[in-house]
Amino acid sequence: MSGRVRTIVIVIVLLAVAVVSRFFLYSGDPHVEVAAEKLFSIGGFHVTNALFTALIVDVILVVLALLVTRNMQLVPRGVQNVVEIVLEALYNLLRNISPKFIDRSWPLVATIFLFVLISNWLGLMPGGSSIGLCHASEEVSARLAVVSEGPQTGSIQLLPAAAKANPYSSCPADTTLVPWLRPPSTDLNFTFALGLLSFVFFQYWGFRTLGIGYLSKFFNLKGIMSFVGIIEFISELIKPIALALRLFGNIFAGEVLIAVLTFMVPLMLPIPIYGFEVFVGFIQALVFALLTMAFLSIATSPHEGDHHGDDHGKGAKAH
Amino acid sequence: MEGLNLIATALAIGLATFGPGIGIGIIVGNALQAMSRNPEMENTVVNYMFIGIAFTEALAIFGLVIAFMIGFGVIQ
Repeated sequence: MSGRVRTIVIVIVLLAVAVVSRFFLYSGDPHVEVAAEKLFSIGGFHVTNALFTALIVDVILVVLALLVTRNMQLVPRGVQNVVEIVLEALYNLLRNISPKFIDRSWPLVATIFLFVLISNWLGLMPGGSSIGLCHASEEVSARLAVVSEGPQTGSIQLLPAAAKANPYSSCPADTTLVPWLRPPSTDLNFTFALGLLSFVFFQYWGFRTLGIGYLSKFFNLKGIMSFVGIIEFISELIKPIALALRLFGNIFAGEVLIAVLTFMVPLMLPIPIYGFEVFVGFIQALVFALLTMAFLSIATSPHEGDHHGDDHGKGAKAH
Repeated sequence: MEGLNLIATALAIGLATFGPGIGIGIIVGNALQAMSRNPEMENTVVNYMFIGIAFTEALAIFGLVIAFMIGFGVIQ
């Protein structure tokens, strides 16, 4: 049998297994919930599963840092070596964008990268979004909606969602599975907080380097540039929102894609998608760090109406 | 209403991927051209390619988030 025929036979067998698995295997609970769910409350403070996972990521990072720095050597070996390779590659990548500010922004940007990376990958861990406890449905899927009847018509309130029967759920009726782990990046609260943090950071350095003249980028009276400045101002305000939605959308879409695919075709088909999501998790962490650095470089460059691309060019040449 | 919600969900993500799809194609195509003409600039070009892709892709992601919000009944 030649190599080509063998490849075709293997592909056909795998596809057949995938199609047949559809009729014999059922994935339980394709769990899709836009908002993070409440696990328990401590004195009125709701601990959601996203917050719980964020704490786990913190613990992982702290333990890793302690482990690596406990016994540092000039010639690194083992874990220290791996971490040094990763951080060095990231450092060189970010230094290309803004060589002047790399040492001031490195702690924040590297923390963002590591935190987002580990939190993205934690959601892909087997069992990540499938192990949990059954909670009463009303409690879980209450959401903000416009009241359509009664005396309070038109107001926006927290309403229980309509019950949807799920034949594959492992939970009893009227209850919904609430997973313990959920990557923080799939919670809009977390990504918005991160976006605002990055926003405040590069605005602060913009003012610090250019003084009050920083504002003249947005508000000035130089003919056509005054209009461009106002457009720049609006796009500046959109930056944290775009950062937040980009991270949330990518990671949440990945979770939903895997859940739905596993629900439809349990074997074979989700595997390449899973590999792709590992890649996406890495790229999104990198992009968040890169963009924070790029925005910092734009905010701190003294220019009047130049293109952003020119700043990048200068940064790269200086390096 | 349920049917309209489904149509709105599909349209939100379907239309939102048009522009970014073309845009990412242009970005990556030009980046490949730049890299093949000037291979020693590869690292720099890849950096800016990813920044450009992130900006372009964000537009599709906005559409995706709107689609999720309609599809899962966060907004109605």
